[in-house]
Amino acid sequence: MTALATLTRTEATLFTRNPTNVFMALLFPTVLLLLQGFVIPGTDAPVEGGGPEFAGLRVIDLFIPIALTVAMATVSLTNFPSAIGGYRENGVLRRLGATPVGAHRILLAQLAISAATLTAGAAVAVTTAIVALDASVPRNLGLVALVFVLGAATLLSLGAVVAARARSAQTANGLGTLLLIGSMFTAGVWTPGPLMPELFRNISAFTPLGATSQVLTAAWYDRPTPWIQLAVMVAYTVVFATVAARTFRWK
Amino acid sequence: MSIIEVSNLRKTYGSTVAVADVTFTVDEGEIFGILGPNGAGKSTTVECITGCEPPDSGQIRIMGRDPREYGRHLYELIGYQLQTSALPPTLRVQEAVTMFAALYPAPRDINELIDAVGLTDQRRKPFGKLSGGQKQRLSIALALIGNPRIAVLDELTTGLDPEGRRDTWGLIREIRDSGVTIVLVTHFLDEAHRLCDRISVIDHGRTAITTTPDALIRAAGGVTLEDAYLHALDIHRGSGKEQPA
Repeated sequence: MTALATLTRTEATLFTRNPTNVFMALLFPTVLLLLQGFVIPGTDAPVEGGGPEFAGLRVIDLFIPIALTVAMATVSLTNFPSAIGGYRENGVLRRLGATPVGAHRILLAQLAISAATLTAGAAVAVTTAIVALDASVPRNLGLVALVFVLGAATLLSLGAVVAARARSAQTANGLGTLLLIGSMFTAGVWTPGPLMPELFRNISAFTPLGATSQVLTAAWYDRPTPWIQLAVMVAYTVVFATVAARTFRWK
Repeated sequence: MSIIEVSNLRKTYGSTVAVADVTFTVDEGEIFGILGPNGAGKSTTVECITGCEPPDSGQIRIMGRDPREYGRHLYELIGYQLQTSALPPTLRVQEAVTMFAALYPAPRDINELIDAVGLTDQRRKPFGKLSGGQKQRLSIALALIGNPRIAVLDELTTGLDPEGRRDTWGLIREIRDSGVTIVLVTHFLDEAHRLCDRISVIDHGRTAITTTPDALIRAAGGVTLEDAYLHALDIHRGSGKEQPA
């Protein structure tokens, strides 16, 4: 087996043995969605004041693409950077540096596992939404998948900036959680994008999670693509990935 | 034949001189000890030998060539056990060895190696639940998995109880007998005396003396290596203060 395949398998094993990571990746987005669906009152009412492009939708429908954004962000901003921070703290990166393949591959392996688990978390959320919340499958699945991949790249790049510098798992986790809570607001977890006051919606469009959730919502409900937000996602991905790669600390 | 040659090695970090002037050679098949007080530059020296840090000046030869010439192939020749390196606490012994085996082109047999370091009964135990001695045995296994010609072991027995240290010494002798040259960084004099064929004493980043443990004791007219070692440090520090005429 190649080095990368073995490292990825090891990362997968370690993931299954970490209950916090399993919960954050696979269950947290769905739990949040179910709370919005069944505990918060009025979410099955039709959208009001969201403009003509969201006519005919229920409030809870708007929360479904947001749940996918949360699935991406949770893994990207907590699990991913704390794993890398832990490897730096424990000297795993240095130890792997003294092997013929070097330490780069464990970053790739961790990135692969993060991408796989955030996708799985999103799949659990969508399945739950269809089964329990009577959600409809998006008409343009290909477009949704494409936006999802771009969104995952944007948020993993943001997580990579934290991962590049954090001295320990705890530092990475603390910083990542702070970012996650802040950005859940802009993603629309408390007020979905279409229902935000215009000023907040406009500001949110220029944040990584806000842009992602707005583009994903448009793709999901087959509305016109918000090109500015799409450009914002691409720009963040390039900038974050470059910063992470340039500032990565091996020790 | 010398398998490692270090001459006039110097390494600084900003204004801190970690290694000022270190010179020694390691013969193939011996257990070579690097001794010295804390902060003397022992770890920095082996970091330069293992290519983890670039020296500022001086020369290092591994089997006749500059370590940088080997690129990453250097780590097929040298297995390095780092002083401060842990593994994820939930990773099991056999999984760790399997993972490291995948990083080398011609690794040793995983089960044989686990047997050789005496971890057969712990192969399914997670790293976080191993005793100090068992963790060190695992880190030795990981340094040997790639079938290296040289094993560099840094502060291997620090934190072990006497029994754990004795077991580890036995293991190191076995590894040497299998044909691997060993560079052992330590600050335990009894360990150096029992284990090493030759030792180099480093103090304040400079080589004080390189000799056999017995010769060091004889030269000092002392009884124990500890007396001889302290004597050697005194002489080195004394001569360091004198200005050449």
